[in-house]
Amino acid sequence: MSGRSEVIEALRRRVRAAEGGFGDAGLRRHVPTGLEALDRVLPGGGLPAGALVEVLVSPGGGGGTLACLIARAACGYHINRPDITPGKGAAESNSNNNINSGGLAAWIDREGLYPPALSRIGPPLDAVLWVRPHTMDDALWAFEQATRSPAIAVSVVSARRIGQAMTRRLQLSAEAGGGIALLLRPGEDASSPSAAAVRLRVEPVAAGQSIQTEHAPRRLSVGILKARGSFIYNTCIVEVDDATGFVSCVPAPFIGQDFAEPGAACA
Amino acid sequence: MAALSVAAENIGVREGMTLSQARAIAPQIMDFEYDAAADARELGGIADMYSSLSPIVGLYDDQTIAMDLGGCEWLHGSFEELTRRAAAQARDRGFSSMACIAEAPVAARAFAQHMVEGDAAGVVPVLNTINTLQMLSALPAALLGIPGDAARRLSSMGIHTVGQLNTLPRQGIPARLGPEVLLQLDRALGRAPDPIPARHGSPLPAERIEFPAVVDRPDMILYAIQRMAGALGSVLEARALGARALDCSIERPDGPVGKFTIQLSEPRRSGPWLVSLLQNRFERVDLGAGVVAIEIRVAEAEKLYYGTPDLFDTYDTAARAGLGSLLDRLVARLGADSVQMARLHEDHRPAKAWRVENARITLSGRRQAAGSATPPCAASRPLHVYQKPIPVQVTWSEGGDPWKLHIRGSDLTITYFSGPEIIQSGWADGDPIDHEYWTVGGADGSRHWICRDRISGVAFAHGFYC
Repeated sequence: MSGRSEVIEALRRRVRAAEGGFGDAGLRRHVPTGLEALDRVLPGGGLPAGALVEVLVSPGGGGGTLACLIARAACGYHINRPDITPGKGAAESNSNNNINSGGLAAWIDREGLYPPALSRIGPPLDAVLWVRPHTMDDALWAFEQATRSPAIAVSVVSARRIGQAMTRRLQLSAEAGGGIALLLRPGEDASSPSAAAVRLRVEPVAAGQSIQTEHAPRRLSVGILKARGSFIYNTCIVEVDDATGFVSCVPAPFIGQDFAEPGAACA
Repeated sequence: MAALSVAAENIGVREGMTLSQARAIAPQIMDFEYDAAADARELGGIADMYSSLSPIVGLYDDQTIAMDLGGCEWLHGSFEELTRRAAAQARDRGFSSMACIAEAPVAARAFAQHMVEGDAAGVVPVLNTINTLQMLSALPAALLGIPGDAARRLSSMGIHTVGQLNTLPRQGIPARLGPEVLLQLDRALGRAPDPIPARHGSPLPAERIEFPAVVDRPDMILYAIQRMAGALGSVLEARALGARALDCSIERPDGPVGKFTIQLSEPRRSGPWLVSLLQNRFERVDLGAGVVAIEIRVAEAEKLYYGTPDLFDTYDTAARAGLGSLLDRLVARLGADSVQMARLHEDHRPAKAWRVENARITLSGRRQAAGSATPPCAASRPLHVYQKPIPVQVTWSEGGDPWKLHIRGSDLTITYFSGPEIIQSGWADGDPIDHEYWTVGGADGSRHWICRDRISGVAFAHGFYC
């Protein structure tokens, strides 16, 4: 019996390898996001390197924040946690605990990124190449160049109305470069077909009507819509303290369900 | 009509016709004045390019390039391969060539010219010490490059070939025909030294293409770029240099010359790489009514030798090279102002809490600067700020807290607020602010960063959390 299951597992691995090794940490490098609740259910324990990752966002919905967290992890820095002293101490702690510090992020920005905020949640500013193109065509061109470069660990761009052919092109360039290509798209693009390996959706968690004041972190809902190598749809809640940069996952179980049929989670 | 292309022959033009006769058959024929200087410049350019094939290259006369190939065949595989590469480089520039390998340049030139006259394209004869006299003996003596009047006198004496000239008594030749004839014969047969004239090219290579007509087609511009970049790469390689800056000029039929400079983050000379860089930059050029000439000049160069990679690539050479290439491509297309790095600055005013720096410079010293910056303050900041603050209407509670926000035509009932963060600063540099900043959020989870001028009371939205 065990021999049969071993054969099946070996065949599965061969299929996964033929499909690019998505979801198998032994076949393809996966970058943990640092958000345990998310990494736990992402196939391979993180986001696949050399792949296009889409984040569907709404204005002010937390897509930029999630991009910061992913970029920070991809550059080799742990996310800030409440158990680490903020400020300089955090920087030292990061440099001591980093996974593979030295990675560079390329942030293609047409929306007015504010560096002091980025440095708090995302990677250190000396690890961020800040590209500010004037047109969307230039932004996508720069994004493709950055994703194709082996020197860039993660590239980030926000764009809308991207066709499937373009996503395929970006996926191929990410495979050539070996980094993570992070594409922020508006939530209404969810129905558009895409060649992305992973598709996430992030939206703010409604705060309710009760008045809150100091020290109320933002809550973001991060959902997995699609992940190659897995058929899981899941959502986790992330808390972000913008003042300290601390990030944590709400210790609630995942909300969602496992799809029984292959392909059910694919957009 | 002295020489004809296949296309000209096909439409009926024949050798010996006058220009008027040829035009009567083919009105599309254009005529240009012979430009000897341009020819010499072009030949010099090819010689510079050939310096990547051999360390000693010179212009032997106004139609001949001489190269010392001793030992170079090992580098290129064989003499045949070397001459094939030389012919290919000339062909890329639009020239046909004839090559001959001999002990002396004058012998090689004579045989090559003989082959041109005999139309023996594709053959690369090799004349060595044993067969040189035999191979040259049937050639016209005039091909040795002897003065014209001496050649005529030889002809009147019935001496037409090199073999016949070699049978004449040596002592009488200088007295009757001048010293040049015997010297050229001795050079051809290896009895006298035949040095290759040293070529003193410009220290930094430059390439220029003048189009015969106004060009506005991108594919033709790209072809010109590819040709120039390939030639520049060859010359740079021969001189063990890498370009650090390229000056480009685009001449238009009616208008100023467009000039721009492309800076490179590290010395480079690979032809295909230079093409991709130039392509990115030229894509931004408005061709307008067209282009009549393009010039690319290496403005700065550094020594660039072939390096030996480390066994353990400690410094991640591939990634560094990739970063340099990426930066160059981005800057070439988007401009240096669009490719930057940010640095935190000790200033409480939010708009002045950071600076931008040249990405190339910052990344070169990145390791030293890592982790040195600290946020100027511990207050909350949004990830995105508006380029220009947006006027908003805020309803304040009796206690002075924000209660309702009217922004971009819609109302937001505030369910979260943090503040005020009062910032009074800037008197020293003449840009004072006296603002209080609030982070406010609605029931939908969105958050905004607003400020109120403490003097005028006017409120603005500065950014939003995303």
